[in-house]
Amino acid sequence: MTLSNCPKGRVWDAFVLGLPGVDVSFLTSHLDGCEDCRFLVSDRRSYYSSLSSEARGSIGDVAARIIPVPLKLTPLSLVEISSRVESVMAAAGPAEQPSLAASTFASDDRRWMVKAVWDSTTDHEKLYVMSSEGSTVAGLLVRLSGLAVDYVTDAKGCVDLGGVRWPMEANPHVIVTSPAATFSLKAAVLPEQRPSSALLKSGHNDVLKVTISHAETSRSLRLEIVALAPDLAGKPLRVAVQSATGSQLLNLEPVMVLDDFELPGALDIYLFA
Amino acid sequence: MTSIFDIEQEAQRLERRLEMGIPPEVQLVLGLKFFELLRGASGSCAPDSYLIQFLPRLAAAASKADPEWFFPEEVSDLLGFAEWVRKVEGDAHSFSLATITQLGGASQKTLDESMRADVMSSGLLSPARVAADGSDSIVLNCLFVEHFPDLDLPPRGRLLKLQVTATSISRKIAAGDLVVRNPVTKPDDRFLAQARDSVHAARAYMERRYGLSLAKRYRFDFAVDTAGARFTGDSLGVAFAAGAIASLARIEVLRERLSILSDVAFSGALQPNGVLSPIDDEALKRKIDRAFFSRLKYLVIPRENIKDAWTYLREVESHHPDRKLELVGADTLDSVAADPRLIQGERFSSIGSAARRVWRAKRAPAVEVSALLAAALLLLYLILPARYMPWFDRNPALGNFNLASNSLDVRNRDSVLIWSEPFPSTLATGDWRQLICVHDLDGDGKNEVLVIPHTTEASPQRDWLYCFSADCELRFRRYCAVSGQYPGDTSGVLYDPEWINVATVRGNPVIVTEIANNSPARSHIRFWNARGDSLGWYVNAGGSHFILARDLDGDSTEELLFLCYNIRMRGCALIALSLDSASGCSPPYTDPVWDLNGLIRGRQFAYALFLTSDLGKVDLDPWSNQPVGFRESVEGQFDFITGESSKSASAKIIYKLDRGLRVREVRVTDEFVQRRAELLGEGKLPAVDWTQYTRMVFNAVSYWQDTCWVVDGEM
Repeated sequence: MTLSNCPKGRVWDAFVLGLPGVDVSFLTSHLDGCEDCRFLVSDRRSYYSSLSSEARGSIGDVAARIIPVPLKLTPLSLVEISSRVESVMAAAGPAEQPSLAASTFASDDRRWMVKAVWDSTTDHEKLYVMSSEGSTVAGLLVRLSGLAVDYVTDAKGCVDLGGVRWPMEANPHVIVTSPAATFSLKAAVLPEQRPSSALLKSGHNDVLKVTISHAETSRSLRLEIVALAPDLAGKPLRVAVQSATGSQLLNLEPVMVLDDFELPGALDIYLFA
Repeated sequence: MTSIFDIEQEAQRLERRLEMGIPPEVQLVLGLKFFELLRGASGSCAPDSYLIQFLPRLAAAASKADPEWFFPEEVSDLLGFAEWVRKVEGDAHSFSLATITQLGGASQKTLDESMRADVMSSGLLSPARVAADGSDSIVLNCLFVEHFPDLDLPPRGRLLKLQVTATSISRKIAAGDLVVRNPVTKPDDRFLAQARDSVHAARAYMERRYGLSLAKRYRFDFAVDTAGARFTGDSLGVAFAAGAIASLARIEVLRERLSILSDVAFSGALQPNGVLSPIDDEALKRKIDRAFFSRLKYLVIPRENIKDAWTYLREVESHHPDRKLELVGADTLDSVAADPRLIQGERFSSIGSAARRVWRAKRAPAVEVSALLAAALLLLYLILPARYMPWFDRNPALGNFNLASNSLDVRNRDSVLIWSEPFPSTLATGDWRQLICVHDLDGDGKNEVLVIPHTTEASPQRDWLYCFSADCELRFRRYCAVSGQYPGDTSGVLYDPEWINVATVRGNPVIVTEIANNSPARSHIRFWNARGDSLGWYVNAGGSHFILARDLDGDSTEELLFLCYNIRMRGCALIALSLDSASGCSPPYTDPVWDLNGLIRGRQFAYALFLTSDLGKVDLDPWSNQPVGFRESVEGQFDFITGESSKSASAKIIYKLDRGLRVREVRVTDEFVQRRAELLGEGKLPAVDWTQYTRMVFNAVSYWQDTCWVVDGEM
């Protein structure tokens, strides 16, 4: 058997990592008769075992796919109060038309709620995603009507819009999407002088290789898609990288490098279909 | 289980309530109630968004809230809430929490103080005069029940300050005025009606107690020191009346001063007849609750409620045995006002009362307005120059030449400058007051100003008479010389102004101007009427000085008398001129030096010449005696006095004249005798017999008559 007929490297990576979707018996028999592939597999195993154990991320996809399809939330008013309270008491004083400091949106099934609040302390508009069932609200993609930018919720389900006042249109709505895959890298003590890599695996067997390298003045984060679940393969995806200091939402590419990346703590990476 | 939508519903309800303008204390209570719900459901709903939404506003409310508003359990809730937020959010809301914690601490301190029995006796709650700030406002505690049916809060007692001001208004106004400064939803509600009833009852009490007439009119101004409080007017009835009584005592002069004590609260409705209406049981309890957890010592309630009130109070006291609140039951406004525990009367002494009456009298509008005007005028008087004052005396009384400004300054009788008229030519130095005369020429009560400016050189003003009106308008100007009548009176010659006087002839003013020159010595005398018309002229052969005007011949027309020199004749002269005929030049008409032949012979009423004595010829250089005095000694007699020595000023000869200006007697002064004796001793004069000497002097007096000099014996 010549090398040209051998399975491709990506297949051997999936074989080495034990990912589903590979014909293990075929590959095993192939290895018996192909010294080149035996060498290649040995090399891959050596490579993967060399990844920093300290930086190895936990694998999980708590938020993944809890909202199967993008969910639209519309304004919700729960209180029917006259704008002018007529008091029978003397000297009650006139009541002003309320100007609400918060707007509330809810899904039709009343399982999800989004609350937009103006934080007068920071002068920032903040959105909070809440679940009536206690589902995780971290790592959700939030799209706001009238805004071209998408946001990803933090661990508290919060999106900080900064100085943007929202909603700013007549019929606002919110669309919330859960990630297709989530990767979580725990805080690790990383060597300062050499690149450190970790192989992260989602609950749906998507595999992501994360390499953190140190430039002279900053760190860079290299993301490399090792394997994707079949339902994601070939689809345009977006990736959100979220740390304690903020998040970045980018179109996913096989290999991505994020420069000037700060990594003070845990790192969450979300893939959105 | 509380869902996130239940919580959100409450949040939205709270949001709207906070925007309703409710008092800050109520905002806090509502906020605490919401977060209590949230804390119970913390498993399903993170508090972050709600803390962001509400905490800043609750902190703002806390900064405005009255610490004494809260009950003990609410204070615990406040402090517990702050602690919970710190626990779940760390330092994220430290600023807001600090404000809330501060309020909770202040409230706790207030409650602790009010709960400690020893405070009552320590003086912290000792009676203090309310509104002792010198104003006419009265501030007193009023207690009422607030209802919050739309906020889902139970009724609660509330303590507020009621400010009452009474102002006296005109009796012409049909009725007293009433102002209630507090948001009132309906102008005709019970709130205003109660205020009217209370004022009515208070006025009746003041009339009974102090005799304060009901005919007097007042404006009563009531204000509660908060916005958004919810109460009915009924609750304030007694407080309105007590405040009205005390405020009337402030502005009226009564025999005592009334002060409402600060540890007293009034509650209950009041009927116009001064009877207190009972309170319903629930409101009574809420009021007792409020009063109990406050600094109050006395709570005034209708006597009809006193039994139930004591029962409830004992129940409350059982939980707080150290706290003592005294309930004062009252039937009528009279019993409230007469209770020294509530309203203290400080009796004035007779002197103090009188002083107060004087002090109040000054506050009568008429007096105040007058005083204000007087003060304003005084201020203007002090600020503005006196001549801007309406009462400023603008009638000239004197004038002087101001050499600094080269002007004529005219002043009133107080020597205050009225106006100043500048002269284009330089005024000569010297005392020229004799060149200015102020006189009412036209009889209009305002003096005209006459002046002959003396300039240092030839000028258009020199030797001219100027007549100015009282307000500096030039009436006329006239040339004082008589041109070409005497040697030396050539064109361009300058004279020295000597005198300006105003005589009265036949009741009319006559301006007399005198200017003089030398080489030959002469004086030009001119007469002018009030309009500046020339009445006559005369030139004397020496200096002249108008003395007075007297009717010498009994024709009811005054003659004008002048003391003069007659340099040509080396003697003094006394001239009497009659306006009807005054003209010409004085004698002599011949002279070894000057050609006097062409002179117009003077037409004078009398011309007497007093030649220099032998003493004068020795002591005087040039030896011409001097006319040093003239006086009207007795009716119809004059003394004409000449000076005869420069060595002895009092060496004088006194000529006694009759009305025809004829000398009837001559006397010499002792100094004259003495000086002559000295010269006798020096061998300069011979010895004389004084009888003969005076006779000789007598005979030396010459009178010009028609064409020649004559002496008494020749006349």
